[in-house]
Amino acid sequence: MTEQLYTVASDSETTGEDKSQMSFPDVAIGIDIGTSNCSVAVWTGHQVELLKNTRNQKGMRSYVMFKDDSLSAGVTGGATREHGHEERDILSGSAIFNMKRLIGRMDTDEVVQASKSLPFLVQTLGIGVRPFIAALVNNMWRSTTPEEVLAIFLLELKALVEMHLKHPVRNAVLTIPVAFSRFQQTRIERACAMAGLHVLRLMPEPTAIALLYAQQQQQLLHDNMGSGIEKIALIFNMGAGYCDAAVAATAGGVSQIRALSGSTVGGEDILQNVMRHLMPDFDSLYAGQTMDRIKSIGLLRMATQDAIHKLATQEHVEINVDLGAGHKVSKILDRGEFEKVNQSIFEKCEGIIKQCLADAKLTPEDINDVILVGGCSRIPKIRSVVLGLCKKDDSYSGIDPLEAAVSGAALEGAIASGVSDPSGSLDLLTIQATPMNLGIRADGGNFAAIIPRNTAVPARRDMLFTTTHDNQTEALIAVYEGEGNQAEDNHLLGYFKITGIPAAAKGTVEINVCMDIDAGNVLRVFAGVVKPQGQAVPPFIEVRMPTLDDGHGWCGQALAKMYGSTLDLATIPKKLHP
Amino acid sequence: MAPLLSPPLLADSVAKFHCSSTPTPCSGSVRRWAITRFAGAGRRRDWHRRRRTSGRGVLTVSAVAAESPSSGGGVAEDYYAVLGVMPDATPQQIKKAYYNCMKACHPDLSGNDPDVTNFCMFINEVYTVLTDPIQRAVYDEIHGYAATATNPFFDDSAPRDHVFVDEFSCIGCKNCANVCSKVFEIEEDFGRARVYNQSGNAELIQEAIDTCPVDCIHWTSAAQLSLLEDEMRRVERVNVGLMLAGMGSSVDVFRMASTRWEKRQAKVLEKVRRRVSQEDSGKGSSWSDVWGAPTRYRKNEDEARERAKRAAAAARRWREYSRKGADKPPTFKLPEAVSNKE
Repeated sequence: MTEQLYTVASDSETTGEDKSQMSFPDVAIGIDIGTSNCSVAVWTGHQVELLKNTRNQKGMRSYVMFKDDSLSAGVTGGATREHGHEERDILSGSAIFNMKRLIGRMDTDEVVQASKSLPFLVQTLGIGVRPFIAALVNNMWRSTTPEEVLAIFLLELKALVEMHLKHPVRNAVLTIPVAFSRFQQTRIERACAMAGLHVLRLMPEPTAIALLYAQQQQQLLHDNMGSGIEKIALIFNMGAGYCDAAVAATAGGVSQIRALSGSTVGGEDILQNVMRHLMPDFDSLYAGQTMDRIKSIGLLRMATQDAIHKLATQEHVEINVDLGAGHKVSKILDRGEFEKVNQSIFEKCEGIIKQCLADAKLTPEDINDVILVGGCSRIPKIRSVVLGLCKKDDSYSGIDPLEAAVSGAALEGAIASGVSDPSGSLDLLTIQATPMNLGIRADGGNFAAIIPRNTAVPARRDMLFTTTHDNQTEALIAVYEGEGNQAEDNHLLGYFKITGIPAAAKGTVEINVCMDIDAGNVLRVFAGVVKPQGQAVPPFIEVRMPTLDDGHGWCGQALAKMYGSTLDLATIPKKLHP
Repeated sequence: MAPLLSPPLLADSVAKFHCSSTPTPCSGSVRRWAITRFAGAGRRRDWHRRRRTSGRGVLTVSAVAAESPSSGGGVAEDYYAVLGVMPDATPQQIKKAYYNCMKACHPDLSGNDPDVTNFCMFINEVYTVLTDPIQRAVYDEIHGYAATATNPFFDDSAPRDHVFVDEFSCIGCKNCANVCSKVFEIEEDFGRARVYNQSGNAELIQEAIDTCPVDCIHWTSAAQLSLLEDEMRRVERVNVGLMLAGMGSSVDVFRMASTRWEKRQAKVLEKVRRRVSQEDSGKGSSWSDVWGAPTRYRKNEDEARERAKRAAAAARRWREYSRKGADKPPTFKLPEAVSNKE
């Protein structure tokens, strides 16, 4: 269980518990905040129901409008007004969207760099701090952060849910991309805390989909009275901001994640590639964040989105858009050209699927079902790449591509909340896996992985280290997360020092570093000196990660420069601690 | 073997719970029926408790353990027994048993009790060992589930680089803890010495062995250590003061571990012999290629030694976990995971 980082005063706190026939008062809701669309679902006692907003929509746009000094999120889409927000308004610079892509990122990130072409203001310094983000309000740029925008959005979402369920909502299960770092996960939890929501679980999106798949297989067994054979599914999820792959084995209602793999490319990258292809000299034509530029970006963006949607069913599409000031785009884009422009993105998708199959030690013939979800799963090239790698003609058809993740999150919310169903619909369990390696910096600048990728959660692993200098009495424990072999290729989560190491020759003192991940995905690091002969040592240090709040790119380099050599640790080769 | 006098353990409860569903020849039908009925009763009560306490229900098998106080024969013998399968189980059977165990002790379903979470981690570790074909072959070799295996106590080729304290000979004089305190400590339950850290100064360890007044410290191989730790987990002991006063029985833990290993291999050989006579080679069993198993992992000598050490480390951890039901929990080197209650 993740502890709350903030105490948030909320009106719902003082409301007495309201009995409801619709659902259990304590059940956690499922939320899927996508980069472009979001949805919310809840277990109603016998099935999962997606909740609709006041405009009768299940999928709601993920944005917050800051126009005219009033805030209104995409949950209601400005339904209190006479007319809802139009696409033109969202692209006018007054709305912040793509929060999920921007949250928890540094300004050296290529995703942040690509976001500078969005209508709202994104400024970067390129030094490893968080980017500056602002919305256009009354002809002025007003600054905000992705966490604030997300919190405003979640507040409206929470109000919507409470209106439906007629009682306060406290707990939520949220879906996150596989490629989310722990730093980004902490940001999500903080935004939820600001909105008065407690995160019960953070689920990678393919894991949530695997749980829904497990439930469907369970119901098939009930219907057919068949034997409980095991099924293996490859799940590929590509939304606007991320793409994920997972291999899940399911039998008897248990969903076991065998491998997870993710990347930070998505539909937004495809869109921007096509925009750049249609107008290569856009940046030189419109210098600075002027009103003309914002308007032209919006027009070009709408035309490109429309074209990409049509290419899913047509071989070629005609694009005609007048950007104003004498600039026009008139072009016929065919599918081959579209695929050529986005070749690198399709190669990344192919890479994460291959890595998933390799990590799970499976061949394509071992896969029973291929599940394609996410908005980009409609792109014909994506489908042919995924189905080709898995040697399948068709994908699994029992799951809605846009509702799968939120349905799985609601299922997990019901299970983790302790709901039981007499009909057995909730006789389910997800055995999650860690998506990234976790370890510390050691042996100079190397990354020593303590909990490897795809370890079943909950997990605890430890590793022995030793000193690198004679009479070394302190050691720096810098915790990293990622796939690189060098520490600085990965995300720095936090750091602390071990003090009071007995003075001895180098390589003789043993330091144990243990990492523990509980079912709520909370990471703790324990480190200390293994008891030496005849001397007292300080107690072990327990640190909950991540501890960094900002500037971890800077911080990692500073730590390496200041303490990299003097407080370094070395791995003890091939010696196991029983 | 003396039956355990302490309350039933989590591991035993899980094994007992699943042994009732997995038919075993040694179980009487009356006991199986009784356990099944108690399991049903515990499950019904557990649901009510779970709903009332908002999902913080107790472990189902704990209710089962409370219902059946007799613990004779309930001790889990090995990793297979922890999951509730026979040593010749196929990978599919192991996976199914693993899923059932996870339904019983996964924090999603049983709350965030630290003991349950720790046991869940242990089950994950056991499953990792048994699903890796090479790791499982090493485990079978060490524990006598391979027909061509050599008894580790008669195998002179393995290096004896691990150390073990025969606690039945130990008189608790604390000499080894003083000579080499990095390795030896006096455990709290019975006042005897025990090895807590296998990484230490070999010369100091040798000095502790030489100066021991009752010669209870021995060099062993990694495989021997695994078997000895298993044996220590089963045998009940009395406090060292009471032993010195003449109570309790003296046992030879080396001979007991070796004898048990021989019995396990005898079972394997008997099954292989019966299978050859029946000519049912089509049956699905992990022993179908039992003769080819040793050559698979012997290709890499270093890797085999590494896996044997991992098995020894896992045996020690299992021993610590299985003492969870004892009156006094052992002192872990690391603090337990703290549960975050709302």
